[in-house]
Amino acid sequence: MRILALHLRAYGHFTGYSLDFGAGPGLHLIYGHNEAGKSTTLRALSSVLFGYPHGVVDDFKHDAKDIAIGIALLGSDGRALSLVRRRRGKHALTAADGSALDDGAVESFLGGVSQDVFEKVFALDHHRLHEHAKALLADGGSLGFSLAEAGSGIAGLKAVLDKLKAERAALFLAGGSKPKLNHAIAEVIELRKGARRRTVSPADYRTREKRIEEADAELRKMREQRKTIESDIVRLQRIGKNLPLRAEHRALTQRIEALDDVPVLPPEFAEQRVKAQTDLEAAREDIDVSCAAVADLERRIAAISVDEDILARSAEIEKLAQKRHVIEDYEADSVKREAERAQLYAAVADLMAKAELDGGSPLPNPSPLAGEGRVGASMLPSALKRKAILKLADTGKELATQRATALKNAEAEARALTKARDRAAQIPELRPIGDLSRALTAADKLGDIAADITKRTRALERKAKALKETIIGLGLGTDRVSVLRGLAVPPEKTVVRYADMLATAERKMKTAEDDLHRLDRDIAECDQGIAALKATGDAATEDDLKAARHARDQGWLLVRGLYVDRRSGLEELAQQFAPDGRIADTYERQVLEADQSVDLMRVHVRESTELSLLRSRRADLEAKRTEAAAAVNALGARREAVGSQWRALWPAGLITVQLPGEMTEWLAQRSAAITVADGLEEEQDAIQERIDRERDARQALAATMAAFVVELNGELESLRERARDLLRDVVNANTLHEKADEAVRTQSARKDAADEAVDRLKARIDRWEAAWRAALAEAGLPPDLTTEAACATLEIMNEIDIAKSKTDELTHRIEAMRRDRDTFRNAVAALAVDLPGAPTGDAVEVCRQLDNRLRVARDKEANLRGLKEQVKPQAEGRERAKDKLRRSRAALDALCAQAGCANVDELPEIERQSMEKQAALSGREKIEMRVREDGGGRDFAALFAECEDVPADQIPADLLSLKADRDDTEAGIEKLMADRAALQADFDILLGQSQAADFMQEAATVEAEIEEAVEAYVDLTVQETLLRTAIDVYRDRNQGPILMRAKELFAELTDGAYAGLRADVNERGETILIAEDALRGSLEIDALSDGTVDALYLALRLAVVQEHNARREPMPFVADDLLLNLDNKRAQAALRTLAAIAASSQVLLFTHHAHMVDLARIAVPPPILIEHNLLPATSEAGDRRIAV
Amino acid sequence: MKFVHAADLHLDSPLLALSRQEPRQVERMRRATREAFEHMIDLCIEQEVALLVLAGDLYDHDCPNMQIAVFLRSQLKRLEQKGIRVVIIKGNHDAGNKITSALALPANTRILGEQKPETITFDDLPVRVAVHGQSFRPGPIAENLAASYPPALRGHYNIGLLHTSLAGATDHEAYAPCTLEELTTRGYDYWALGHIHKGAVHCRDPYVIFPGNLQGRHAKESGPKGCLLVEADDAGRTVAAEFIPLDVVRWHRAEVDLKGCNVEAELVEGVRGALAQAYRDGDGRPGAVRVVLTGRTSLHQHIERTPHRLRQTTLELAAELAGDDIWIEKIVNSTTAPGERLDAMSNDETHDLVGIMQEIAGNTELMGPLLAKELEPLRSKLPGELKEHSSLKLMETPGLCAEALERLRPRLAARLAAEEDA
Repeated sequence: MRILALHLRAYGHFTGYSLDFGAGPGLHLIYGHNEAGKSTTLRALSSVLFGYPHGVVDDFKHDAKDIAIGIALLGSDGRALSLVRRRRGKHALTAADGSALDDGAVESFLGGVSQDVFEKVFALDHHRLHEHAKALLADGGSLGFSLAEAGSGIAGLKAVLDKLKAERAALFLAGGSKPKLNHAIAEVIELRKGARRRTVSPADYRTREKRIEEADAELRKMREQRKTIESDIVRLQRIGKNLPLRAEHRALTQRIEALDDVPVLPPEFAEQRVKAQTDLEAAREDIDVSCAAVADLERRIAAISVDEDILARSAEIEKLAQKRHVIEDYEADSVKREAERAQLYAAVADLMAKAELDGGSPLPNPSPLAGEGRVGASMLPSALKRKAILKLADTGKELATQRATALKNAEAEARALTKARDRAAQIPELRPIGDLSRALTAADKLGDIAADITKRTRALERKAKALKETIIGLGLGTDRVSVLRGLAVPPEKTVVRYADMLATAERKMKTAEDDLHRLDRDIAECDQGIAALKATGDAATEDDLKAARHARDQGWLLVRGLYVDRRSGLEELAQQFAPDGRIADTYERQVLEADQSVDLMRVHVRESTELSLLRSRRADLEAKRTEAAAAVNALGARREAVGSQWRALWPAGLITVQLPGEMTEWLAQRSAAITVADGLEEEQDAIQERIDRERDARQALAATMAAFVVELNGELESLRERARDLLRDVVNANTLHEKADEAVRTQSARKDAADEAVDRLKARIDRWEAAWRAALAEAGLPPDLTTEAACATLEIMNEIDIAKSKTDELTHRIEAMRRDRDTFRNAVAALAVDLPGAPTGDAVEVCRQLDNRLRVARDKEANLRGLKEQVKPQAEGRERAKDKLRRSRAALDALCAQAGCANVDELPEIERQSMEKQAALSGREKIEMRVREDGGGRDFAALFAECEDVPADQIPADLLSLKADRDDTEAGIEKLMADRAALQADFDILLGQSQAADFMQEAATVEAEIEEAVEAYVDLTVQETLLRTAIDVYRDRNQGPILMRAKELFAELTDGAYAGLRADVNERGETILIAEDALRGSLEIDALSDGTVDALYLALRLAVVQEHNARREPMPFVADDLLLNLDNKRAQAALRTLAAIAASSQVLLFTHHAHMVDLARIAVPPPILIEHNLLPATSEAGDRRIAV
Repeated sequence: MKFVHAADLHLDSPLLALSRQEPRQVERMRRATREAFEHMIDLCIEQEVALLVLAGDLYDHDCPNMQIAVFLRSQLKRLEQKGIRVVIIKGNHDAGNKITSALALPANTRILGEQKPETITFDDLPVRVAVHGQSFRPGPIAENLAASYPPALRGHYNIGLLHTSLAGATDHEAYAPCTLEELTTRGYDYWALGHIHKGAVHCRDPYVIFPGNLQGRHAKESGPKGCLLVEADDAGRTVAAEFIPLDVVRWHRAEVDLKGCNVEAELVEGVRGALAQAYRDGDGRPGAVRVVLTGRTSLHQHIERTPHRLRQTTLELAAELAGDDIWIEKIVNSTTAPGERLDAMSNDETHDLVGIMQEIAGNTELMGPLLAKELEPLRSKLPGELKEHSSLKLMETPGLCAEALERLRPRLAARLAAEEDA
């Protein structure tokens, strides 16, 4: 397949650009400098054939949907196809006529080559060439790797295989123990063993269980044995104890049988008998004592006589006896009371006299016996009236006091009013302050305006000064803002444009200068190289040869002219040829030099070629340097022209024009200065406005203060101070005036109130005086009586009332006593008349005697009654004793009957025998009880029966023997129990802890690891085997034809330095590549120089390509600056080789190195070499062939 | 009346294919089958069930360990103390295992005979119950045991206890096969089946149910595992058969579809989502997750190239989501690359390396012996059944060999590309 044309319709930065390769054979050299789009073109080539790559979009100029690349293809069978591929999913491919194509249409031209293979095998650049060459060395020249890498375009196959092998080895080694799998396998085997060890099989389980059961049976048997022995021991111990008891039991039985006739009396029998006998004796004594006491009482009763008469009148006598003491007291008291009454009468008379009632004799003399008249009662006013008069008197006194107080108050208020009026008269009149206050407030609002004005003025001055300095600094020769404002400067856009223009010019200039310097350096390097080669003397060039030959020919002409033809006029030439005059020597030297040059060229071909190339390169560089120097000059002129235009933009003569950067800064400074000036003007206006306000405030204050003071002047602040003081004074004065007026008003009101109070009191006093007089008249007292006199008279009247009351009370009492005495005397007389033996005389005395007689009669009566009461109990005690006597006799009879005797005296003996029999019975019972207690439920008779025929002295020995048996059995049981516990513990441990399942689980987890590792190992093995086998297969299939072609190509590429290549086997048995050096013979790869290895790989790769193209649809070979690493000679050889390949298939050689073009022109003749110029991306023109 | 139906306890069967990432996690899964069984006993006691029926496979056949039997007895005794009856049939794993017969089971427990079907009635329960069943004999049971089960007892709630593969379960060996129809027409009220480890309700009238095993033991036994709590009303009708999860450790298959994903962040988000879902599904249990990446994605090569990085990221996500409650059993990359063409090569002998790799990958006659030679040393070292590991079967199975070669070719290509990039 050939590419006839590549149309970059819309791709990368290309639009409608085409490369026309034509249908004929040829080596297409596509030249484009940097950025011309070489890489884009290479990508386009692959994309149009195989599709656009996934990641790279190349849509920076064209939208992805618009991207389109066209290609015209010609198949080896003559088929042609023109198509366009667009970047889209469906219908990406269209034919030239716009009809849709499928991928198959293109694939039929590709001969089964995939994109990957195309890019890796049919394309190569110098970088990858070198990488592959290094890999060849790393592979040790292995033929398989070399061929496979060349054939696949993949470097580092051996490294991949080595890595796979190493990864496998880390997992498993047949003889190893440390790799992961080896280790895990050992571990899992160990874990399974552990699991087996801990598995309890049913057989094992049964065995262990049986052993435990046997131990249990043995244990049961031993325990039975122990029980029997213990039973025997108990029996023997029991017999030993029962033997003496049995003898005692028999003795007691005999005694009981001897007392068979004796009744068994109850335990309380003797006590009952003694009690009955004691009670009988006591009853007899009690009967005797009771009879004697009754007889004595009866005698004493008969001896007592009682005064019945007096007792019959006892009630009357007792009443009179009680009255008798009162009557005796009356006698003494009546005299004393009458004396008291007489004193009271006298006192009343005195009081009456004192009150001047009834003309000095206010009271009649009272009679002590018939004095019950109401003494003076009708002469005195009633108590109610007297009380009313006293109340009125109090009211009068109160009113008098109030009147005095009111009068005093009225006078005081009048005086205070006068005083207040005086004070008010002394205080100045009110003055208005409103205007002054408003003016002051307005002035205060301004604050310290004067200081502010001063401060801002100073700041303004400072800023203005700085502004002037700034303006001067801008280099205008003036400090005036107006000049600065008026200046005509270019607009910002213009400045920016010129800045760009100048910067561009500067950048280009710099680039040109850099180029010039680089060229100078390159020339210097060339010179050094030339000098170095010269210095070795191992190199000569055609030019050297030509120069030497020219010198030699000149020498020959001179020699011939001078010495053969003998021509004259050659002296000057001879002088030039051989300044020292030794022409022959010089000529011989020239001949020698020419020969040496030839020899050098022949022997040191490489060095000579290099020297030649260096010189050629130097000449090339020199030419470029001249071009570069011219470019620098042209750019300098351009830069200067732009500079002139720039300067012309600015006002002439006013400022120094600098570069746009500086001028931009200058403009910024100017703009800033104008902004500052604007600000300063605004500030100036503001200050002026404040000065005006300060003046207005000052004038307003002065005007308002003029109403209060005469002279006014000064600054606003002092005016404000004075205004504040003045305002304060006036306000204070006005306040005082208002207070004084208020005081006069208040005081006046108070005085009026006081006067009104005096008047009200006077009216009340008038009303009281009328009432007073009326009351006195009603009480019969003189109407002109003063209140004090009336009160005194009324006081005496009260005292008279009290005395009268006491007198009446005494009189009543005296009369009552007289009546009581008379009544008592009459009663005593009446009693004495009826009572036999009654005395006569004073009633009081008679009464006393009768009372004594009555007391004696009562004492006797009481004595008689007491004696009679004592007789009854004595009689009752006697009856009770008789009853007791009867009961005691009956009890003794009953006891005798119980004991079986007739006489009480027999009872004690019978009681003793009964007790003896009872003790024997009880002793026998106790013995039987003890025997039964230790008998374990056996019958008593049986227990005594088991003692029969047992010798007592044998028992201790038998017991000892039995106890020894028991201890032996005990020890046996303990041992058996320990054995069983141990068996059970073993069993429990086996079943409980350290379960086999845990080991199985652990083993399962390790197996999981093994499985995972096995899987990884298998995967690695498959990959390694697959790759290794593929390489072997590749080698087998391709070794012959490729090696054959590569051999020729290698010879060509090394320009015959190497005769070729062949396969050989090294000492390790590996098939390796061998290079045949023309001089040194067979060489392994590692003996070759880097350049030669590069050539070797290139030979292999080109052989692969040729082999492919020979067998299948040929594919173009795309070389991208492939030959950069080769020296010129090798590069030329390579170019010739590529040209030879191009004869049969297409070769596209991309480069952006001009010298590669030059080399190609030298190495490849014109019909074969077809040059294309990859134009700058912006070009709309098509491919253009460079004239050759 | 309530009863519990469980099967396939496989007591002390280890959890497989879990590597020792963390000792703590190993400790948590240790004795998981026993713990799950204990949970079931707890459930019986809490729910005051009348009966527990176990449809076979109490142990693993290769575990003749009396420790298990002792454990079983101790748990059944707990039921005895509460008056709960237990009826057991032996499954294919129990049939040859002597451990049950070597131990005296508690009085509440009956193991049905293996010679012919047996019926046990419980007339003292609120609903009279008849349990019919037959234990497995040692050796494969190919005949239809259910066919000879007795007819239903009148006036009883009839439970058929059967260890069977039913018909057509492909993942399990065929034992006592029978059809669903045979069971549903027998007149029983409830068929308590065992043997299939994945729970399934085959019929609801009458109930024909596999409860599944009590505890999943490997990645294939994923999802909730437990027993059935069944309730019958006084008229002897089954009113509820509720699945109760009892598993201690749960296995999850977390599938991440990466179709159309182009950036790694999407992959990470996908994995995070799948892990979060697994954690939620686990209901607070510790879980082992197999992450399976599927779909055609341009990330295929990236995943193949950086498996360790993906594993590390996944572990970090798991730790972030659930601390150490989730661990990653395996990450399987089943994605395909968008441009991958697995065919399209002509039959002609190819001369380029990549073509040769593709060509010989299909040539198992060539590659099989080579791989066998390389892998034989490892196989000979592996203990017992590990020799039969599926990865090693490619040595003698051409299809597997071709599959492995084809599967790993892109990975090798990724390696080659990586070496190029290096």
